[in-house]
Amino acid sequence: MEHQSYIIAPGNGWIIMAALSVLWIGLGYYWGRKAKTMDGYMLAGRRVGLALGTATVMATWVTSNTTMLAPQFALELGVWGMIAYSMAALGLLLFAPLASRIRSLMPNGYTSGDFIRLRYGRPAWILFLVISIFYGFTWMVSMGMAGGILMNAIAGIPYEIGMSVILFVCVTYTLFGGLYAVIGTDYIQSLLILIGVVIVGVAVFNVIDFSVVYSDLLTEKPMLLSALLPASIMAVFNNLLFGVGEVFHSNVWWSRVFAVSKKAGRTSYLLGGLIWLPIPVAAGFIALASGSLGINITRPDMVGPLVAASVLGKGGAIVVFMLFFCSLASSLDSLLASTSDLITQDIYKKMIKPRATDTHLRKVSSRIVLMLGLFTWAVCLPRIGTLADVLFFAGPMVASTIWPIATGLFWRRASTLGAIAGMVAGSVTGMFFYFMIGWYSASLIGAATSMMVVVACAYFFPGRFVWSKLDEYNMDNQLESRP
Amino acid sequence: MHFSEFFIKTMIMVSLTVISVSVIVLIVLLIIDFLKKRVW
Repeated sequence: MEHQSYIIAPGNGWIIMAALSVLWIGLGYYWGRKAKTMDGYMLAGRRVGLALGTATVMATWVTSNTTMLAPQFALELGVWGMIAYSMAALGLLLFAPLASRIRSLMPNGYTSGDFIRLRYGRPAWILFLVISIFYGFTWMVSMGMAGGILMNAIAGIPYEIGMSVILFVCVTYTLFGGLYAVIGTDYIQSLLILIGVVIVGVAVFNVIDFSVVYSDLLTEKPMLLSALLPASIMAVFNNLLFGVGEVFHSNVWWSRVFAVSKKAGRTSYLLGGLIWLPIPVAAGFIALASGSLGINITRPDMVGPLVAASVLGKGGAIVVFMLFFCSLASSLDSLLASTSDLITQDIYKKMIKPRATDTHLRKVSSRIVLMLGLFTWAVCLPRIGTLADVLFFAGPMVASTIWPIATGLFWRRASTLGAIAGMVAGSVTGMFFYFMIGWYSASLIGAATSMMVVVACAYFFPGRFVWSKLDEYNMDNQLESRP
Repeated sequence: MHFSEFFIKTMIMVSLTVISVSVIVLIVLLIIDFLKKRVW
């Protein structure tokens, strides 16, 4: 199959895209009516139940990168590639105990920035914000680009229009309903994603003769089946640490901790992680069959859609289109909402206007969502780099935040010096190895360096942190009530 | 040393089964939350 022969007719693509766009905006508006207060808009009222909590965690972690890069990993790194991508689930699973710890230490918290500021002070907080906001933009840009590329490859919709529509839809419903809209739509999107992955996976598995695929690989690309491929094994640990770093530091996940009810927080992350774990394998294995099916792969990140379309035909192609649209929307909306929260709370409220009222902050938050969407659109327009390049560039930086956060939540000795030095040293060494060796080593090196620095500083320059300082709003109330 | 055909096939089938069951789990959880009035 040629790359230019679209999976579905452009006319059908436009119809499905329009239908899904209207659905998400309509649902976002409907659920968004609940978002009257600042807690409602930013944190969906702080009482989200287990079902919606689990679905939003899972759906947000299934990005277009999962559905596009998992097959690309399988195509380039073989069986280890699929396993490597699955390891990102450990980010969610390991965050589960942290989720309950965060909720008990900061019952009224808003963002991950709140934690770093209260735990390590202003310099560490500013450094963390730089890393976190850079990562948020990187992820958003990779999502926007993926939207345009996918709509173009699947339905022939021009890149600029596909990318603009997906951004417009997500910005609109996030603007209307904040996290209520995001979490509500995430539930439906999670069901559609799971059903789509199963339909594609089962169809491909039934159509191909796996014994033939296996023997073809053994003859033509034996490295893909090798159990001892060094780059792939390194990719397993790299992805694991990148995933852990992404989840531990990003406000996308912290905002869900504050949004989901205290009782359901830990279980939501555990269940979400367990549901996510098999998705890269189910979405990725189809790439192994591309050779046996005689599919001409012109771009590695398009191998998944091309194989699925070749096997499923026109009817099933609609499933592929919906699957990608939902994957994109479920992550983009979360990123818009959580990055806006971070900028509103940590930059606008804490640095620019400390006495701003909730009503004012609610308006500011909406404007920031709009500006983030416009900025992402402007950066996505020139279509720079490949998805993997854009995404993994942020890897060492986020991996360097793992230890300052994990030790900061459980270990009183973890110090400010260790947090700052750990983030700087981890980012610098990780970036160095990103260019010297490759993306698959950067997060690993970044996290390892950060760990050594954080632990060494905790022993040689220990802190004596008082946990109650993290409950900032309670402490403020106590101070105000003093005579 | 290579991964065996059996290992890869089993990994794929287990993955597809877990994802299928997950759909049911999510729907059941929502019904329970709805009945206990704790969806939001």
